[in-house]
Amino acid sequence: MSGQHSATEQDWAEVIRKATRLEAEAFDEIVDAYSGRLFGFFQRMLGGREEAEDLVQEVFVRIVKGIADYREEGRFEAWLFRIAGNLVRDRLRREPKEAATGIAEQDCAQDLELRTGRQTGGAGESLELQENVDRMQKCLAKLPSMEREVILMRHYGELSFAEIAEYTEAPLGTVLARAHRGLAKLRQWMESPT
Amino acid sequence: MSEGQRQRDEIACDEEWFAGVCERSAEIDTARIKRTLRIALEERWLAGHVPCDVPVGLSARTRQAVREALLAAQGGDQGRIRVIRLRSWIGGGLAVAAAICFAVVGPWKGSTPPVESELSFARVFEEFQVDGELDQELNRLRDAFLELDQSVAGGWGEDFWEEKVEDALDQSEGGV
Repeated sequence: MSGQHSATEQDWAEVIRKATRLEAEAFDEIVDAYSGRLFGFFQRMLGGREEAEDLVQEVFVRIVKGIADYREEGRFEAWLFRIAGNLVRDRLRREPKEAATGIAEQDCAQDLELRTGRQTGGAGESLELQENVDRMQKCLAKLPSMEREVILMRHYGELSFAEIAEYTEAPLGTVLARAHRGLAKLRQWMESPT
Repeated sequence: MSEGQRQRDEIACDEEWFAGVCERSAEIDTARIKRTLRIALEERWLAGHVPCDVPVGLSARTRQAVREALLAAQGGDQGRIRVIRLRSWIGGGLAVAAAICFAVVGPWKGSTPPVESELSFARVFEEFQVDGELDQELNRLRDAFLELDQSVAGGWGEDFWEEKVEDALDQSEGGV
């Protein structure tokens, strides 16, 4: 297990075991551990804060429905983010044009507010951060969804390339190439003067 | 250095850069999610997926009764289950005749569960002897449901149980 959760591997295995028995407290722990990362993933994938919140919720509801069938063959978070990825794909299939066409100004401002609220920097730093948040979202939105997905699955889901290859049913080489191309483009766009 | 290795190194370098630019986690209000999950969990319980450790100490028969109660409730409504312990007076003597898991369909709306459900639960309990065994078993069932109740975050606790017995009796006099 990785991420924000402070429990040991053994504790976490116990949480999952309790979740398979549908114990409410176990789900609270899972929500606390993963909702932030899932939210970041959805927000970066699709752009909208409200929609991202709904999708985070949908992931957990699907977990409640499917936890009985969960087998500890793969990592729990890989399973979690596969569900998240499938939701995004469904969403992109339904409304390909709207998705990820750029973060809404309001969403961007809220995001910034949340992040700067925890920081001590001055107004100049906040402004720079806001520009970066805005710019990064726009750059991500410009990427093909397959490249964006690999990058964000790695970043938020901490999935290995092999796990992403398995989930996307693409050869490992293809997944690596998508990550390589996508990241190179992002870096180039972000580092070039506007 | 092979082409593949070079590519992996570049990816690792770019990922490190990306991690410095893009936050790894975003703030989200989890209270709403947890509330929704409680409802989803209730629905799963209603579908018969009772947490194994909730009916602690219950016999197989009572466990089965609990399951049937939950399943019947699912058939009627996805609302909350209220389990009401009923005692029935037969003839002149006081006897525990039946315990019915009364799956109330939206009790606050004043509606009642399908008749088949009641009969089904009654059948389950007919197997018990009319003596302390049933009473003991019912107490365990009650405790189990109260425990389940607390885990579902309230709404129908001890008070309800005690207060509604009388009402339930009134309702069931003709039916049981």
